[in-house]
Amino acid sequence: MKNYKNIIIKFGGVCLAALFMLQVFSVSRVVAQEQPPIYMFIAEIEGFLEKSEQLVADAPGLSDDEIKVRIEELMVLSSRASRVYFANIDSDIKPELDRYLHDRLQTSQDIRHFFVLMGNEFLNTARAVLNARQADEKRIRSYSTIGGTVVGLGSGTALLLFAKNLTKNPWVAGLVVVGLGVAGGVAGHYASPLVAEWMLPADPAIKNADDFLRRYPAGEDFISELENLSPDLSAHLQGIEELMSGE
Amino acid sequence: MGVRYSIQFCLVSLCISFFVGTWTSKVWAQNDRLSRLQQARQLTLQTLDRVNQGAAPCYDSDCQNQKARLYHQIERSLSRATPLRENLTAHSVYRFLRSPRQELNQNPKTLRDWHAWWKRRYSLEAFQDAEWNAFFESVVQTEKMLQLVWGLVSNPFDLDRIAPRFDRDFREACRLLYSAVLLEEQANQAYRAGDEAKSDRLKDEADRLRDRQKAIEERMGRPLLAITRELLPDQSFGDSLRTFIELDRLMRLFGSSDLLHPDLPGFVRGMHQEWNAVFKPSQDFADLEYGVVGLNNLETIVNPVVAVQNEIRIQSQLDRVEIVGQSLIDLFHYSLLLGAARDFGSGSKLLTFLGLLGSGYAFEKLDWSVARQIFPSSTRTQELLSSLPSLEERLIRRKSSLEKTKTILETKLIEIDRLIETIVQGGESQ
Repeated sequence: MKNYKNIIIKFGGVCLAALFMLQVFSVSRVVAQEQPPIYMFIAEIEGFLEKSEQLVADAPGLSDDEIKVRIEELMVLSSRASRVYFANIDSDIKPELDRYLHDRLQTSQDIRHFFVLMGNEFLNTARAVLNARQADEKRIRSYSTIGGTVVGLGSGTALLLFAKNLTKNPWVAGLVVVGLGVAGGVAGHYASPLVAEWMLPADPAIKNADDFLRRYPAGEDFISELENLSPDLSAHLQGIEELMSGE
Repeated sequence: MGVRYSIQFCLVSLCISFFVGTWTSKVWAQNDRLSRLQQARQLTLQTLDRVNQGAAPCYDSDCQNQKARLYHQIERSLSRATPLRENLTAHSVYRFLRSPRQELNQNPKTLRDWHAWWKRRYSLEAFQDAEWNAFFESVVQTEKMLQLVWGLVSNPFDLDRIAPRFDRDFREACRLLYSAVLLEEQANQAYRAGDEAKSDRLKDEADRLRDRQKAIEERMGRPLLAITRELLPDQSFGDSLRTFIELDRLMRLFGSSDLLHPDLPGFVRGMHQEWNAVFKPSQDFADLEYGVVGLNNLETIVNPVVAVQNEIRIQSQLDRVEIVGQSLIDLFHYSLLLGAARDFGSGSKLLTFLGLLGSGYAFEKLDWSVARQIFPSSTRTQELLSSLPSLEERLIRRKSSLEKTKTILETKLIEIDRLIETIVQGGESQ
């Protein structure tokens, strides 16, 4: 009896010791873990924004070749950001990443066209993820083949979708939606397509720095209408001016 | 003596008439100015109300009658504005009158509400909206260009600065570059649509235009970007290019390339007024049909982003209903297959089971469903999701515009009130 008691006590002690050691190692593993992905993502995005703003400031004094080199640097940064994003596409921090992207785009409207580079990298990475999930992707692929065509979608927007869990109804199954849109289509109105929860502009037709430079010369959005007032409001303002000046 | 008195009387009358006349015309001018300032004040307050409150869309019979009147106005004005209208017609406006939009309950509760939303899944509303957007965008773009050009030609200092540079080479370079950009955008759209051959062809054409443009730039001695920045420093490259192209188009209609021609401002003003007769009723129609987004109704369904997000929520629920319905039909189909398989397998349970498994697997792999053949799935949710990006972008621009306009209007109101006060006090002292 005494022997059994000793055995039980020893066994219990060993278990407690093992549990304690496990805890210690878990904590140290947590401490030794890499920087949380959200911080990596933020670092890439902030670096991207800083370089974009620098390019806009320096552009008038740079040659086309120098601008292209800077654009290629931005493409590299975008690619890194997209890899962090899609590595965490099924995680709990995805909504936080989206919110952060959304907020930064909102506050960086004057350089929003540079986000086309980021959107394109996101699109490329999304395609790679889709290809990797080939076996379950028949339904998804049928949506992505709509990509780029205008018929039936009015605004000419396409969608690239990939599902966390494939079910009969992809709209219900916690989808990660990457949207690609082309708005307008009337001559003279060229809003950029958007990607990644509608927050990033993207244009798959811009494949390299040269294409980007044609569309956005000297770091400026060629067809930008961001600074202009809505026409109904500017028409009213013009009317007020005319009445005040006595015309 | 009598003659002397007559002459004196005439002279005094003349003097009195002169002073009375001067005083009267001064008072008239002041009254006229006061009246214009009061109109300006009224318009400022109305615009401020539009900016702050916006307006809700309207679908009752009075509004539909108003829309019909606006349609006729647009048609008449378009027929008069022939030089500017290009291929525009008011057909897209007419469609709204033929199939008026229904106002639906945003929180459907009854079967009737849900039925109305179900009908929307198969309606041509998206197509109607796309047609209208294309028409309205064209009208708005022309209006914007005319506003920009009017801003230019009404300022003689700007014209003096621009006229020496606005030569044939400059105009040709602007046209070539803009045409190249349009072709490149068409090439991009073809690429997005999967037509790479067409995209390459358009890009080659665009490259040829760019080469010609670069040759002209070399002749001019400076890049086009640098020249446009110098001439219109407050505008973006794209806007200044469009302004010069529009100015060039109007000069061709005017029949002279002399920017300093004294009749040019009057001509441009006339064109602008003519187009305003198309733009204003079109804008009024848009206000009635879609409402007006203001600063205080951004959270309501007048904001198209909110409306679409709300509808996505509703249509997602209807998607589930659709799937359940399709699944039931498929189940019925499988039960028929079961019966056929049993007959075919001569009552053998194993054969029946294998047959059913095989056909189920085949249908799944082929992604084929009897239900979807009979009742094709609605694409409404996809259409709504796909419209969100462009709507968000439009909303960002609209909000920025509203905030800027509010600041300008508040400043103008103060200025108008000050001017009115000056005139009123000046009148009282007289």
